[in-house]
Amino acid sequence: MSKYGVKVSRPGYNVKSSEDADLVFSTVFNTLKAFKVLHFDYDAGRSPMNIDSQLHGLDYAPTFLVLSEDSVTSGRWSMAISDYFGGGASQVFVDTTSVYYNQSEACYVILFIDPLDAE
Amino acid sequence: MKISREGVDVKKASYKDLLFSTQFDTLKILKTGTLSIDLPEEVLNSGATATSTHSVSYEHNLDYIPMFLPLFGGVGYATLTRGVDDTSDFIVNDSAEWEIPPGSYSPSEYNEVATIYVTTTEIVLQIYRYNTLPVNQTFGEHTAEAYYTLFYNNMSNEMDLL
Repeated sequence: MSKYGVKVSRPGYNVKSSEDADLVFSTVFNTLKAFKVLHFDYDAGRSPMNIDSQLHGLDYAPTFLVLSEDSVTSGRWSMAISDYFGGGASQVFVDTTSVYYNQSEACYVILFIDPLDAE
Repeated sequence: MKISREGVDVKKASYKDLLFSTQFDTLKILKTGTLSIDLPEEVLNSGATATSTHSVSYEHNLDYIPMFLPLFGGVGYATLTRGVDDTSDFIVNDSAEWEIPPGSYSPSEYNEVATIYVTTTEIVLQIYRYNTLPVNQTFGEHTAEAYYTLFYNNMSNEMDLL
């Protein structure tokens, strides 16, 4: 059976002979597809005992990445680290309907259409 | 434009079966690079100067908060993987150990902690040294490096493409 697909190589590289690492895009591989960015604004009342949530619009757990604002210096954004005081529970987590967040600082969550448990 | 997985009809494919779709955004790499700090030898003592902060940055000047990797904050590597007086160079990305930042529950009374963060203009590697004990603690001279990837993607752009 013939195989069809698309490959795009980096400038200066022959697409027919390029190694995978020198491809900008290839349908041999999946590409993370971002569909939504959620924002949790600063909320002093939010905590591991008072978790906030937003619907993500899918019926499965999506892949996601998070940036949260530094609790001491505003304008600095990094990963939401695990909550030591909460027993090591993650600050941001997803299920089949929603994104959950349990810290007071503002954060942005980028969601991908790609399932978290895809093999 | 849509591209489905092999064996899946692209006209009938669900979102999960698409390799690519112009309906959605992708992570677009702006730049990869290395942030490197030459850390001096210094002595900290909680009875005198108990903390020091060193940082290095790259100016992306995007004027918004970009997505980036690696995502870690407050990685304390100097007691679990090496002594604080160690003088060998260190790649922060290699650290698999976590050490809790200083506080009432911190198991570490002195440490060297790495954080990488972005602002609307730059990406920063920050090394924070501290000693809560009332005795001298020598921190060794060495270089700390972090490999990063910056994306064009604006994290403050609240899109919804469904």
